[in-house]
Amino acid sequence: MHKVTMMKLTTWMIGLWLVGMSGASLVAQAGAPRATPAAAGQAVGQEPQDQFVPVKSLPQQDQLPASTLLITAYGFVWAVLLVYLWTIWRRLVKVELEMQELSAKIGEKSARR
Amino acid sequence: MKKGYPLFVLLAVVLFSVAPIMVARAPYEATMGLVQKIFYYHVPSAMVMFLSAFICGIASAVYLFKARPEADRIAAAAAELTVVFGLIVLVTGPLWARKAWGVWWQWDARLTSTLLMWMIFVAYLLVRRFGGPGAEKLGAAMAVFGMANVPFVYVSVNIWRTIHPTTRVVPTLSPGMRGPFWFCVIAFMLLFGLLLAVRARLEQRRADVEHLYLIAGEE
Repeated sequence: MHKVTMMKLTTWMIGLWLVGMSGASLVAQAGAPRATPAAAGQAVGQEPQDQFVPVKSLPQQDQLPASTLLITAYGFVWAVLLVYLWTIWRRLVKVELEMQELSAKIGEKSARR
Repeated sequence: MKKGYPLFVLLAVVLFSVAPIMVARAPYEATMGLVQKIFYYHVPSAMVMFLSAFICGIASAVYLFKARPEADRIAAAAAELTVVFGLIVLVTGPLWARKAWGVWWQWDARLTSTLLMWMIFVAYLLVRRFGGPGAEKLGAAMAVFGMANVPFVYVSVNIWRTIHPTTRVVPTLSPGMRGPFWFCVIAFMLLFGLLLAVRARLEQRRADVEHLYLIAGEE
């Protein structure tokens, strides 16, 4: 009974959410003013850019602040992944120890009988 | 799968070691310059985040409707990875934006919907951790909502005019950028597969421990 109610409730919630999101999208598209190119950081009259264009050399004044941000970003990715790996390893070790202790306890109880 | 672990780990380490070299050799982008190279980690992380959210949502739906515990374990693992890779996306994005747009954050459709999606999966983990009995099912329902968000997050840049580049950027990459980018995507996907397998194994071992507690209590 509980399971059926849960399923019905979930189905209804998903349905309502999808209807709400679709409605919100339509309303936003119809009512909201389009962002101007200037507001989007582009020069007026310039077509919005939808692809990257490579250059051979980089202006000198552009290099230092960008490199700090770039190194921070890459360092952060590596740090997060390494810390996450370490937490998984730590949790696995803890669970394995708990398992060994429990198995030993169960073994002792069985031996006493 | 267990026998293939060392090989996959080695492959992932090699790919992640080579990736920075490939990124360094990739051409500079004309308007953004050096900082655009964040793209090579930012976008693959976002792809992994979307994939992880989908896996979590589908596994949660299977758990809700078929009551399979193994599906719940995969969902829990995938939710945690969605949060981890989502955090990478949400931090590397503003670092790039600060240089490219002049601001750390903009409350536009893509950024806001990504943040909301990430928060749904954080909520999922909190519910599972502190929700008490029955929290798995409540969490599973939340994960289905989180998954349903993914298509909206993806197309948000095409529906609304935002500062964020559109979804046409990746298919129209210049040849010099395409190689390093897809290399990074493969590296991230491989790492994700490995982390998901290890994290799901942790859930499996926890279930085994709970089972042992039950046996110990009965005896």
